[in-house]
This record gives sequence, structure tokens and C-alpha cells, in this order.
Amino acid sequence: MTCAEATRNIPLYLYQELDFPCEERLETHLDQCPPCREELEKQRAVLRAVESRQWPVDPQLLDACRRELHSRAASVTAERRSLRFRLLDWARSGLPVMWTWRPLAAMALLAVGFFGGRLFDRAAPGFEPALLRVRDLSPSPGGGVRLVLEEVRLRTLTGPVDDDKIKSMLLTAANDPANPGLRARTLDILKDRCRQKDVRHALLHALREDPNPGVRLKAIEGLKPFAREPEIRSVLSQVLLADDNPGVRTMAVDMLVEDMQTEVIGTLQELIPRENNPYIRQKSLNALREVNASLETF
Amino acid sequence: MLTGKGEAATAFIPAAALAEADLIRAAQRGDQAAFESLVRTHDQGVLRLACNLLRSEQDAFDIYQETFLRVYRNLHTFRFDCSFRTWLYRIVTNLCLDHLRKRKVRKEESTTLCTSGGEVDRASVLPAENPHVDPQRNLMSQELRGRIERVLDDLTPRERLVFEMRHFHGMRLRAIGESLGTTEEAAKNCLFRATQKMRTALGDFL
Ligand SMILES: [Zn+2]
Repeated sequence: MTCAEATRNIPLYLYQELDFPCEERLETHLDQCPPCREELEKQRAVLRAVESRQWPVDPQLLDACRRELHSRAASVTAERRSLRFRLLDWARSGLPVMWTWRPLAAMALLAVGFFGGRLFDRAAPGFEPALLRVRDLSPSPGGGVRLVLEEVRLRTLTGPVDDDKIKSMLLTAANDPANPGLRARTLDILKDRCRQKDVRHALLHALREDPNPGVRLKAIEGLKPFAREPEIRSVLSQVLLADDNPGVRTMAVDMLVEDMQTEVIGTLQELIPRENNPYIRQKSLNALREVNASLETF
Repeated sequence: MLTGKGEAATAFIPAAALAEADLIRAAQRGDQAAFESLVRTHDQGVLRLACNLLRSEQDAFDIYQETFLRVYRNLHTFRFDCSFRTWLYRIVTNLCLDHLRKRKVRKEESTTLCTSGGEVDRASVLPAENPHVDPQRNLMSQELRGRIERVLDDLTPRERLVFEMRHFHGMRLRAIGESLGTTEEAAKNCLFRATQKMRTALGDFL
């Protein structure tokens, strides 16, 4: 290896990026050549000097980045949500897309939802006449038609709300895409049991995801007694920034400023420039003034 | 969302307990908690790269947001045919390169370096520039510091990027090449040119 080749290989050697034979030849050369050894040390010193100018990452900056990303990702989710529900409307219009992936039990609940008013005041369990749905048809020999029917039987179930089976049915009904009225009434029943983790989760889920503002209002109402809990507060902040319904946002802001914590300040500062509802704006401004926080983020 | 129970269940699994591949799959299904855990495993590196390359916390902040929002929007297209880190660095390096190129053009057009402009609402969430004073930096003479800044400015965006990733992030040249959509050999040449320029600028000073 010549001195010129050695010099060229030194940086890669320092980064341990030379292949083995090449490294061997360089080391042999370095052993015999004091000027190249000097060059090696020189280059090492150069890299060390450059290293010392590295900017350390400020933990506050990292934190600011994470918080901002959290709220931006939430608004991406909100955009997706509206798209998703447009698809859902299409599915609801009777196209068979839903049936390909929804389990049979959920299908039954769709039917129950349809007759939901009767569900809880039936005295004894029994069978209702079947619901029929034509799934397919084809011509049959002799000029007739051959139908493939889907039958859904209705059954009533009566029992205490805390019964496991009833409760799990209720949790499913809280997500029934076809019937917002049923979802709202279900949450109304469930909301008194918000202490239970799965119920609370259903309420949080509805508050974030339900396309119907009436249902979201029921959900947020149910969460009111727990407005001091961090998990709930973080959802409330997201809702305040992302929900398009002023009623829901009003409840969210009321619940958040009730117990003014530092994390609320950032949310309110972000909210004010874009909030067009006078009550919510005023409430936010007052809350910020009370803690002497700046009113806007710029 | 319609299968409420299934989705609800994932939120109760401690995210840290899941292996990265599981986290990615969960995030691909729309689990935001999983997405955020994924972010937290990699975001310090991303921010450090952006800070060092762009030397501006404002710009680094923007790159951070843009990088992870792209990840969020496009995660469903990730097919596990390279490591997640490589995929992520492909996104962040492209954004940084664009940024450096634009800045270079701006710099050539006028001598004053302007900030990105547009949105100006982040001033209060961002700490002031140069928040930490590195003790080593104090020891270094003004002159040497000036030279280092100048030589880093003289590197092409690509040379800067390869140098940062190899030197400060310890990434192998092969992985760097993969992230930049080029070969290991090309990355090697970039690194070589970068170190040459530094050697020339600083060698007689040290
Ligand atoms: Zn030699």
C-alpha cells in the first residue's frame, strides 16, 4: 500500500468501514510508516474537534415536539373519521359490504336495534317473527326465480344491567353503527357505571369516535365525575381541539378548566385562535387570565 | 371502531411490552397509543439528526412534525421489507436534504438567512436558541469554532447527511446508503469527501 492509498483509507479505517484485507494492509503500512501514523492521529483529532460541536437535544424541545405531534395526529384521525363514516353511510344504504365481515351476533343486534324499544320491557324471553333479507337471486327452471334468504330471529333478553351477558350486549350496542338512537340510549344506561373500566372505555371510545353529536354528548356527560383523571383529561383536550360540535366542546372546556392544570394551558392557547364559538373562547380566555398564562401561542 | 371491544382491548396492553413489529402492526390498525410508543423509541435520534443538520430548533421542530406525520399517514404501506429505522430515516433524510437544498439556494440568493416564515405560532413552545452550553464548547477557541461552522457549511447536503449519520448516529454506511436510496459505495464516497474537506480546513489548526 502506498502512502497516498493509506491516506485515502484512513477515514474509513477510523469509522471501521474497511473490509478485513484492506484493514490488514493499512495496519501493516502504518506500522512501517511514521508520517502516515501522524496523518492518522491528525485525522482522528479533526473528527474529535468536529464532534465537540454537536448540539445536544434539549428535552424541552423534544417534549414540545411530542405534544404537537400528539395533537396533529389526533386531527389526522379526525379527518379519517369523517371519511370512514362516509363509507359507513354507503354501507348502511343496503349494500352487502357490511355482511361480509360483521359477525352474526352483531347482525342480530342490528335487528334488535331496529326494534330496540321493545327490548327491555318484555317480560319473558321468546322469539319474534324472523326478519328476512334477500341475499341473492337467480332464475330458476320454468320461468320462476330462486331466492337466497337471510333470516334473522329476534329474541328478547331481560335482566339486570350488571349481568355479564347483558352488559356485554350493551357494550356492543353502544357501537351499533346503524342506530345512533340506540347508541345514545345505551350510553345513558351505562353511564352510571362509569367506575367500571370497560364501561368507561366505551364512553371514551364513543366520545372520540362516534359520528353522532348526541351520542358524544351522552358520553361526555357520563365522564363528568372523572374529569380529574389524566386519561380522561387527555381525551377531553383532544375533543376540545378536534370535535366539530360546539355543545361537546363546551362541556369539554367546562370540565377542563374546572381543575386548571398546566397541561390545559397549551390546549387552550392552541384552541383560541381557531375557536369561533364565543362562549368557549371567553371561557378559555378567562381561564388563561386566571393563571396569568399568555393568551395565545404567538 | 365498530368492533369496539377488540380495539378497546389493545389500549390496555402496556405498549412497552410489545415488540416493535407488534407495535407497528397495532399502529397500522390505527392504535394511536402504539403509534406514540413507536415514535418514542425513535424520535430522539430523528430530532438530534435534524437539530445537528439544520442547526435551528425551529427547523428541527418542523422536520420532526413532518417526518412523523408522514409516518402516521403512510404506515399502512410499510411492508417489513426493511427495518423500520431504515424506512423512517428514508423519510427524515429526504426532508432534511430538501430543507438544506432550499436553504442553500436562499443563501446564494441573498446573504441573509431567513427563517421558514409562514406559521409563527410556535415561539412560546420552543425554548430559546442555544439552550445548553456544552462545557467542551467553551474550551474551544472562537477561531476553531468558526472554522468548523464554515467547513460544515461548505459540505454538500448529501455529504453533511452521510457524515452526521455515520459519525453521530453510528449508522453503518450500508444502512445509510439504503436510507438515501443509493449504494454503500456512494455513501462511502460522500463520507470520504466530507472528511477530506474537514481535514483540509482544520488540519493545520490542530
Ligand atoms: Zn505512508
